[in-house]
Parts: sequence; structure tokens; C-alpha cells
Amino acid sequence: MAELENVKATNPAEAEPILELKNVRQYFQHGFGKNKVVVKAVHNVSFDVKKGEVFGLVGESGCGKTTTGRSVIKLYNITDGDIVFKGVTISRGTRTFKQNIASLRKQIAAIKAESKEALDDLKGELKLQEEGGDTTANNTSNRMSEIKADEESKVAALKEEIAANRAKIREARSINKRNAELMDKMQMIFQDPIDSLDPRFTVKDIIAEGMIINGVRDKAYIEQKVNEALELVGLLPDHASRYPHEFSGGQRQRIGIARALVVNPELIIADEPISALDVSIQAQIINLLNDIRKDMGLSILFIAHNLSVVKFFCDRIGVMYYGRLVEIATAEELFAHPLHPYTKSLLSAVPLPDPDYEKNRKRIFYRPSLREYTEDKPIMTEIRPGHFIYASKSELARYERELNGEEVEKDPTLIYSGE
Amino acid sequence: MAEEKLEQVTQEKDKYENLYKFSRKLEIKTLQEKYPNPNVSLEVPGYLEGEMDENTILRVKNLHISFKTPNGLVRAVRNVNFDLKKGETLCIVGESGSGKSVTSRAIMGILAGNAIIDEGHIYYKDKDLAKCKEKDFYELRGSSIGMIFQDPLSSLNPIMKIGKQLTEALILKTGLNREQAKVRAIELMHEVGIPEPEKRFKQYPFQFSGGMRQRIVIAIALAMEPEILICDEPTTALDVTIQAQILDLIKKLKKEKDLTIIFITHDLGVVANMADRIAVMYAGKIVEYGTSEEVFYNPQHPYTWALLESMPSLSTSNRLSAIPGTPPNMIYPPKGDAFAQRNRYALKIDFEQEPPFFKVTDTHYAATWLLHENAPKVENPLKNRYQSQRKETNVEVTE
Repeated sequence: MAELENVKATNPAEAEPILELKNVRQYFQHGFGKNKVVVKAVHNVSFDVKKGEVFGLVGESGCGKTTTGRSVIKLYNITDGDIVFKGVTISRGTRTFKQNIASLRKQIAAIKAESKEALDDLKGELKLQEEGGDTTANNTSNRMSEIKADEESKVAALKEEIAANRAKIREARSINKRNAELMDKMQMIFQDPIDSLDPRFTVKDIIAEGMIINGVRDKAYIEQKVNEALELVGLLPDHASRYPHEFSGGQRQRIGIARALVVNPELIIADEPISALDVSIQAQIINLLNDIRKDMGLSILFIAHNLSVVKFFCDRIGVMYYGRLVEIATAEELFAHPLHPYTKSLLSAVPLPDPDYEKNRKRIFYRPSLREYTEDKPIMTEIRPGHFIYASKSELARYERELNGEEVEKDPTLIYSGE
Repeated sequence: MAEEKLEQVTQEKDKYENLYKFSRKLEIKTLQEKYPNPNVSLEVPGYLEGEMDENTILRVKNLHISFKTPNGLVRAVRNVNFDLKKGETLCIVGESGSGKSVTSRAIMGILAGNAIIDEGHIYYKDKDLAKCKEKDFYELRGSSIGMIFQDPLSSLNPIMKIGKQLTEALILKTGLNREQAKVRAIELMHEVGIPEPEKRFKQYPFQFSGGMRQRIVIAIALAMEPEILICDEPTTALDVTIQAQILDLIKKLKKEKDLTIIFITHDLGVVANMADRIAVMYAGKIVEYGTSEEVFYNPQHPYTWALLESMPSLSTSNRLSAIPGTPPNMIYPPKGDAFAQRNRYALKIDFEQEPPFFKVTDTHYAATWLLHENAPKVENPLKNRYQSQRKETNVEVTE
């Protein structure tokens, strides 16, 4: 069942979205029978990326932000939900339909068992009546056939529903087939510039590979495009004949960016593109991405855990915690008014190059186990225009008062250092 | 734009081509004799004046280290000098390839086989570690100087149980038997904050998360109760929340065990958190040396400025000022100031002559010609940064 608990995180007044995620789940499972383990890496995530926007996903390692990025670009088939890119659904999960089928089958079994019980009773009655020569025997047999007809019609209706669900699964599978033209418009930049480049390919091969896969055969055109891409990222055309090991880390990351840009994408998924680089090189790459984004009108899904870079680079930020999005807001809003306790604890962990600040810094720890969600279920709610938060009703009331600048009681899930 | 770059590259190529061809043909050893390290100078900066007193636990003096490679000699460390005072945390900051790890490995005596200590001394107690043999290091490593490495996954043996890795050194060095060593190891695991140490004792490294693994590595380093702990980028592989935990743990242990720490990192945020004293390294040299407050609030070297500027603070909104170019090739260390080519404020003399250390205060030194009395006055570009940042973070600081 698709829980529509995540309200779509959009502001209709703004630009149209280029990418939409609707209740996306990505589960991984291994083992069978009693050893079966299901890892809920992404658990009901909904957000969208507007045209020309940089959307940041932050969270600690293992919270599912990389998995979300990889699911969007279809490196995994999603378990449930829809991913819409440029108005076309590119991925659809089948878990809902499979669950529907299972529950319908259960219903059929229940109906059959019920009618069987009733029929057994009547059979016994009929036997007694026939032995006793009772005249009501006819009535009883009529009732039996009624029950049978009733059961058949109910089962037929449910079977139709199952068939409909099956059709939906087939549809989802056909949707999940690669849509080459559309997927070209989405490219990825990886974290590790050393591992993500083939050591036996020259730079030209690496950059041209995408075009060749797409069926471009004109060598002069390929060379021209490769040179253009190299220049765009600040490398020289004669670097094209070299191998990746001849470059420094920052230059290798530039090659990775050139590879993504050469097919004219509209959306780039940047999976921690700077965390493997040196401090002085990080700024170069961020500036490069910023320039390219402005020149080409790109949208970027930026996955990172360095919050000061995220604040600098992103327009909107989504904070993830254990597979769920817990807060979405514009960068300024999120840093000025963090509401969710996890966001607060994450912000308190960011080290800043300022010794006095560091010495006075109070760490805040998030302990979700200190809170109960059994009765008051949390949902994603828009607390201010563009500011979404995953909270239950009572928490929401408190957050609202906090936003209005009122004194509020301490968040029960937060522990301040020194306490 | 591209033509300019091309020209620049070809010029550089021509400059080094002759040298390069030549060095390939020669035996490395004769090369070293024939072309002695051009940057070796016995000049020792002012902050190392005087004899080692009781407070100075370690003194690195005039240290030069090179590596033999097929392409030539890489001058990884060129004239590094610093003092380590008892109970302080010295942070060494710099890009990769600046020689910070090599310096710390020289102190531990675990340099790679192709390394040569050209010159210099590392005084620890009555020993000179730069001249120590492997046999002498055997007594020092672990029991006097401990080390934590960057990647907690690769510094643990994947097929050996955690317990065995923890007790290995204890049994070997202190003569405890296995049961005693186990008791001590569980105590250690408790100290570094590992829950259920008895159960964890029997597990393998892959069953631990990144942060827990790093705690184990710290426990192993502290097993023999060393005086000095060298942390070589211990949090680079971890994310912010875990990083904050590990830093807190190191600070707590430092207080409890009266440790002296050399902390190597390139993250200036971490440095601000940990450091009492900071040494900024570039191209194998210390370029600025001072207390934490001095280096952050009154930096003098253009490289320190550039490093601080290239990190977006929470209040940065305009374009980041990146450091252009890449660090120099240390097979051919540049003449003059190594940072000159990437330096916005470079003077003519920077390309010709190496700057000596200029004294700013008694504890603060920087190697830049900008501090010379005849140099043009350059305003510190970071002057207003901290005020705006403090506004953002609501931290009140009395000055």
C-alpha cells in the first residue's frame, strides 16, 4: 500500500520540477527463510529538484543518501514509488502491487474458507433432513447453491483486481526498461576520482565512451566534443591522449566532470564529488561546478556530508536520517531555523576554522529512542512555505511555537553535551 | 586562455627536460652526491633557539627527507623544525604531499624503504631518532610513541580477532600472560567507549562500524601507555558526527592519560577544535608556526590565508577564492618560495630567494617576505571574516 504520508515537497509557485521522487523506497534483501534480512536503505522519500536548482542531500554515512542518488540514475531498480524525470516516469517500484496481490489472495482464501464452513454445516443438515424425509431439504440445497454463487462472484471480482495489479506490475517493468534518450539527460559524478576512471583508458576514451555508446560514430565530431568538454572544465586539449594516473586528484575529478558534461545533460547527480580532494582543490571544483551550472542551466542533485560546502553551494537542502527525509528547506532557512532534532545535532557537529567558536561549541546529541511514535504518527508537513519537517502533531505544535520565537520546552530527544 | 596555459606548460617542460633526462641515466646515489639537496641549509628558525628544556619532549631540527624514485629524488621534507612541548597538541596542517605524514613517520621510524634522511635530528629524551637503528625503535614504538592511522579499515588485520590484535603488543612487551592481557584489553575497550567489550573482544574488524574501528585503533595505540600520540588524519574517513565523537574521545584521553599529541590533518575545522599550536606545511617546509589563536586570528603567510579563504564558512556567500594551480613537483623543488607561483601576493624576491622565518610574536613565526620591513604592506584578506562568522554562529567572544 502506498502510504501517502509524505506530502510532496513542492512549492507550486516556483519553477517546474525536473526530477520528482514520490514515496520512493529502496530495500535490499539477502538470505532466505528465517535468515532473510531486509535493509531499508531508503524508506518513503519524496522530494523534487527544480530546473536550474542545486538540491543538497545531507546526512551521516549509511543514511541512504548515496543510495537515493543511485536509484534516481537507475543503478538500482527501486522497490516502491515513482521517479519522474522531465515529466516522464522513469522508474516505478512494484512492491505496492505485489503487496496488493498478496492481500487479495488472502481475502480469497478467507472467503473460500468461510463459505466452505457454511457449506459443511449445511451439508450435515441436508443429510439429516434427507434421512428424516424432511420437506425443507429442497430449501437447504437452494441455500447451498446461493452460497456457492455468492462465493464465486466475490472471488471473480478479487481475481479481476489481481489481474489489474499484475497488469500494473507489467507496466512498471516496461517503465523500468532503459529509456536511452531520456537517461542521457541525467549524468553522475562519483566520489573517488581514482576509482571511477578506467586506468587503461585514455582521457579521450573515457570522455567519448558515453557518446560512442549512444551511437555517435563521427570521429571528428567526437574529438571536437571531447576537446570542448576538456576546455570547459579547465584542462587542455592535449591532455586527451594521456592516462588518468598522469593527473592529480583535482584534475581527475575534472575529467569525471567532463565525462558527465559531454552528452549535454540537464541533471547531474554529484555523489560527494569533493570529499576525496584536498582543501585547496575542493574550492576549485566547487567554483567549477558553480560556473558550469550557471552557464549550462544545469540542475544538480548534490550529495555531501560537509555542511559548510552544502550551505554555500545548494539552494535547497534535504536532511536524511536512517533512510527517511526528516527536513527540507532552503539553505538559509535550514541554517537559520533548524527544527528537527537531528538537523540540530548535525549542525552542532560541524567543525569551523575558529578556535574560540570550537572551544565554546556545545555538542547536541540526537537520541530517537527517547521518543514514542506509537500513537502520534509523524508525517511530512509544510510548516512554513518551502520548509518541510517530518514530525508528529504534538511536535509540530512545538516547532511552530519555536519558529514564532516563543520559549519552548526542551526537545525530549536531544541531549546537550555536559548533561 | 588555453594558449596562455599551453605556453606556461611548455615553458615548465623545457625547464625541467634536461634535468629530467639526466637524472634518469644516473644512479640515484651518485646523483645525490653530485647534486646535493640545493635547499639544505643549516639555518634554524628563531623558535628553536636554546637548549631543550624539561618541557620540550621532542625536538625536530633541520630535518630533510628524500625518496628514491625511478624519476629522481623526491624532496619530501626540506628543513622542518619544531618543538613539541609536554602536554600540548601540535597540529600539522597542509595539503597531501606537503610532507606532514612523512615527518611523523620519521619520528616513528616507519619510513618507506626508499626514504633517505638526508640531514637533521629528531631529539627524544637522550636519543636522536633520525639516527636510530631498527632495533632501537623496537623499544620506543608503542611504549613511548603511539600512532593512529587514517583509515581504520586498513590499519586493522581483517582476519584476526579484535581481542588478539589488542593483546598482541601487551603479551609481547609487558610479559603479561593471556588472561591478564585480556583483562587489560577489556579495560582499554571500556576506556575508549566500546559497549559490551566482552562480546566485542571476540569479533572481527568487519563487524565494527567505522567509528568503532577507529576506537579500537586508538585503544591499540594506547595499550602500552605512550607519552606521545601521533594521529595521522584519524577522522578523514569518517563523517561529521562520528568525527566529533572521535575528537572528543581523543581530547578526553589526552586529559586522563596526560598525553602529548601530534595531530595531522588538512581540515582546518578539526585543527581549530584540537590544536594548542599549529605548524602549517607547504612543499616540505613549515611556512607558519604559532599558537592556535595566532594562526587563525592573525595569520601572516599567504598560504595560510589561501587555505582559510578556500574553506567556505557558514557565512560565505560570494565566490570561493580557490588556490590556483597545484602543489609543485617535489623532484624539482622550486627556487625561492615554493608557494610563489600560486600566490596572489608574490613579490619578485619570492621567485629568487627563499624567505627566512620572521618573528611576529615570541611564539608566532612565518616564512614570508611580506613580513620584511621593506616589503609593501598587504592587508590581511581575512580581517572581517570572524566577525561575520560569529554573528552567524551566535558565539560571543571576548577579546
